[in-house]
Amino acid sequence: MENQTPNKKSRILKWLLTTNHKDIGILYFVTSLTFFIIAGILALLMRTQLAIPSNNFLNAEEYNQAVTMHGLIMLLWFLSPLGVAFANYFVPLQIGARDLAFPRLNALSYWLYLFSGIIAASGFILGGAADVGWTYYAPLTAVKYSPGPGVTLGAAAIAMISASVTIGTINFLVTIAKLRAPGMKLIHMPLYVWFILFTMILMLIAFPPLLGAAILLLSDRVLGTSFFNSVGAAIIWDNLFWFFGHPEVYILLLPGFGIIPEVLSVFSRRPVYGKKIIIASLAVATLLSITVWGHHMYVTGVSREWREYMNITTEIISIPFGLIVISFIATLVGGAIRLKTPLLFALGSIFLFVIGGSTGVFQSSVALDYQFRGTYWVVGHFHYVLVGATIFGLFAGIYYWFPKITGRMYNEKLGKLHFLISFIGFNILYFPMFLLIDMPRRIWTYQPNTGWGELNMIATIGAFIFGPAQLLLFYNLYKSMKHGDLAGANPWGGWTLEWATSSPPPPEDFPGIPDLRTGVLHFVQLDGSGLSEVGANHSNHLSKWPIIISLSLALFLFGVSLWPLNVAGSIIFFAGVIIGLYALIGWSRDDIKEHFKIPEEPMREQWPFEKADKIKLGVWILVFSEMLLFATLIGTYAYYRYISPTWPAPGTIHDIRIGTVNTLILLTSSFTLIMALVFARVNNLRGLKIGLILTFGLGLLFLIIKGFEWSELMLHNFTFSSGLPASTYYITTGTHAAHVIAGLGGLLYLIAKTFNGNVKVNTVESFGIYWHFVDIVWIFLFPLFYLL
Amino acid sequence: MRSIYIFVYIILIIITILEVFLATGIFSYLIMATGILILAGIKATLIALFYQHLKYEPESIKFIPLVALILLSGLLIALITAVPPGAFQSTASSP
Amino acid sequence: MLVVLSPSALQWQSLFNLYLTFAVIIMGIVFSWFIYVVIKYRYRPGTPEPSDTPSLGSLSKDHRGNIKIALIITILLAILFLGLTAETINAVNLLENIPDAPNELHIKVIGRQWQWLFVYPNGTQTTRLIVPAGTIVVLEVTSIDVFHSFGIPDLRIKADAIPGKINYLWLKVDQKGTYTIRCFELCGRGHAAMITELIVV
Repeated sequence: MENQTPNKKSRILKWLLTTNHKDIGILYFVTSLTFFIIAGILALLMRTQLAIPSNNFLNAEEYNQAVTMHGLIMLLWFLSPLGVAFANYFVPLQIGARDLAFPRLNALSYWLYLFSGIIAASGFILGGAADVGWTYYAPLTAVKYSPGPGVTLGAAAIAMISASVTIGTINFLVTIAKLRAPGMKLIHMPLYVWFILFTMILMLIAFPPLLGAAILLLSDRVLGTSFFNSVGAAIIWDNLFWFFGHPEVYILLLPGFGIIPEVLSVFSRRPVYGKKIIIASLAVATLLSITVWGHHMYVTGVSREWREYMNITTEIISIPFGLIVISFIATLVGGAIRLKTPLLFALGSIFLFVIGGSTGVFQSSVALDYQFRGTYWVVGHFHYVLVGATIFGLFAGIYYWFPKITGRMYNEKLGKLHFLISFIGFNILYFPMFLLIDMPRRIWTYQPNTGWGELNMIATIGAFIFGPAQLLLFYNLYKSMKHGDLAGANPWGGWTLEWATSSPPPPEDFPGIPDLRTGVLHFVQLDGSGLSEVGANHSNHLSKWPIIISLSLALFLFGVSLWPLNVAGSIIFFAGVIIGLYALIGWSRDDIKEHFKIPEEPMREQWPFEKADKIKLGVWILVFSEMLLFATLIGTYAYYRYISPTWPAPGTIHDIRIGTVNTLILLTSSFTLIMALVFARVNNLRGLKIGLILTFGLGLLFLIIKGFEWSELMLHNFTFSSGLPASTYYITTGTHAAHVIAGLGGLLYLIAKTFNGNVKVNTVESFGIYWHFVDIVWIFLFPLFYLL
Repeated sequence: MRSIYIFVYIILIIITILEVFLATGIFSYLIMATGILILAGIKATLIALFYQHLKYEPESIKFIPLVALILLSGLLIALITAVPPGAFQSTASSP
Repeated sequence: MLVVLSPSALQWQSLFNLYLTFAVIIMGIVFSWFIYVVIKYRYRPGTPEPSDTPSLGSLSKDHRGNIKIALIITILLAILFLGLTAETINAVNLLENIPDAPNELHIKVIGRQWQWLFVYPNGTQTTRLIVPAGTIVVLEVTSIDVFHSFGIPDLRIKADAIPGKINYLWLKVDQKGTYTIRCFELCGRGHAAMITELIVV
């Protein structure tokens, strides 16, 4: 047992520096519930305004900010993060890992999330938050139509949280791939972990296009480019946003939905029905979810074939979800059901999902969507699935896992009351919306002669039942944390691994590595002995760099957003750059000195990634997301070239000779880098050093030539605001150049490690995968921008 | 092992020169564009297979960039074909 | 809700009723089963525990699950959904294929912050859409600033108003009367005020 001095300052410091998955889970939990309250208050304000016709409680501008921020905060800063909170806490426990694969990156994900939320919300006090709808349709988001910092701050926040999410997906995917307990093959993982696995895969696919679109929008608003204020902008934004947006709704649903099978089986005392069927359904749904986004664009005038194709995929995506729901209900058959609060919320979630999902099927129809598009039917549908199915599922998780996290039982009567009032209030609030088929979304008021007054009043009453009912949850959690009965290790009689350790679990989770190979759970030490571990060294679990880097990125983006409007923006921006550099160097030095060494554990289940080490696997997953990011940028360029009647001919603006030289330089740098790896493999340190330094020099030369090229272009009046050929060229090659700069940073790190004498071949190889990827991107940018 | 990397490097240089030759020569735009993009694809594949070592990696690793390639192709096709050509009028005022 | 005697509204309403019928039937079956299961298998003191409750730390085995039932359900649902899609495609053909008629009336609909403008073939511009009863009217919907959405709920028709692009709608109303036109995409401060009327004379 560690000696803990309960000093207030060191307690706060611990929360700021921790990298332990349980602590970070709690941080996500508390932060997401705080955002829930903020966005919930916005909702109550909106419902007050809409309760009666021609109301003046909020004016149009205030209402538009409320509805936009309500959506953004609920979706990106509450629902998903609450799901991530549980994933953080329980995925490692349920698969028998000690922590996630990259604990400091985990902390980084959290702090990026927190600071991005602050940036988004800061709009309220800086002249108006974003007010263009959470869907940010173009060209309303152009500076011309939405001056003021709100939209820019929102876009910056979206970019920042995309980075947080992408880092998190790499972390979770590598963890599930490489850190399962011995004996836990993929099929043996609890269903909850499978739901998180598919969530992470969807996040990996969905967030890069969002990040790309956010970067392009930021560039429009800060640099004056023309991505989302030109002819055709509305459609490309629509496409990019919903390519993200549709998988996003399953990203939101699955973490909450994944808690349901856990709760159903434990509280009916039977294993889940159809585990393999559910997993197969999830796989099909994941695949299909990437092919259905066109149903958000049915009346935009896109081609008939496209829409009919999307109609079919959207209809059939309900089939896997239908199978999942049927399997859930079948789990209860033959069981001995205890109607405790977690189960009540799980049952409520299934019930509300069936209603919400069914109303979704209506919207898959191209013809029916003519009426539904932009109306409260859609609002009713997505609140049934996002609040009804998702939040009720997450609430089931709160009650189910509260005893494990705090060691105490919540108050069961208060829990049941919370469920009852929430369920009733929810339906009073949202069901009327299905009857408001002709009421447009996002209108701040309506006239008495529409006849919508009664239904809106009912909905508002429901809001004031459902909203305040959540106070019962907070009160219950708070009171029970202090005075609840002691829970013990396994109050529910569960059988997944989190119940095999104390409540709350000790810092190292388990007394050793859980070993399931014999069919009986026991714990082994790293060296294979059966003794349990005592007093692990936890000094290497704290790091100050994640919070500092996140702060620096926040300052950077905040400064960028305010720069066009206020010179203070430039100061904040440079502060961000300097602090960021300081933090990157600090993190690298920690690594060079190997302060944060995590022991390898080869006995873990790693199929099918036995041969790839964690870093290599992580880099390939990063490359996956980067491929999609660059596809977004290149796709935008291709789209605009396709629809634009005129475009500068090759050779008239961009000098082919410079492009060719730079291409050859970058190709050579790939060659020098692969030779460096060859030398590393045969332990030729000198060859390795020369290879790395030459690669660095060539990369630097590439950037210098590019800088020269850009300054020449700008002097000849080819600037950021010179229209689409300029916008696409600068931002696409600029994003590529940023990746080269990052690569140079990585090379400096490798060179430092080489001089320090502790460079590993695997690290050089993994870096190479990134660097060669950056080269491959240029191989396409060169013809696209210089030759064609 | 060493010689294959040198060999690949030389091919990459040659293909680059071929691309510039195609671009500055007197070919129809369609032939030139298709040819250049195919050549670029060959270069990318060579780097992926040999420099990124994909040729020798297990299926599970190959799978990752392959799936990304399929997805991004779908995205590119969708972005370009969603709207019928000529749907936008440049005479309509743009903001 | 008032169903207007227009081909579009009638078509829409019958398709909606079809979907609604199936939704109610399926939800009815699922909910009945759901409630029955929850009540029947409720634990009461004396109820025996199931024999297959897993023990802590045991590896899960999937012995519960019948692939055949899953396949049957999949096929049934697929047939249902493909049938509904076929009906939808029929409806889309009607709603989008503009019928040939000798005296078609083409009217431009221009959305702008924050009103709708209608331009008739002879150049007249109005802020209300006035059309003769029983005539086929083709609307060419566009915007000159941001993304709006033009909808006439009583006729069940809608098209997004996108700058630089024209989207087509057609309508034919036999019944004289006044019907509301609204904007269905958030377009700024005056979004809620973009209301006008279709007047069929």
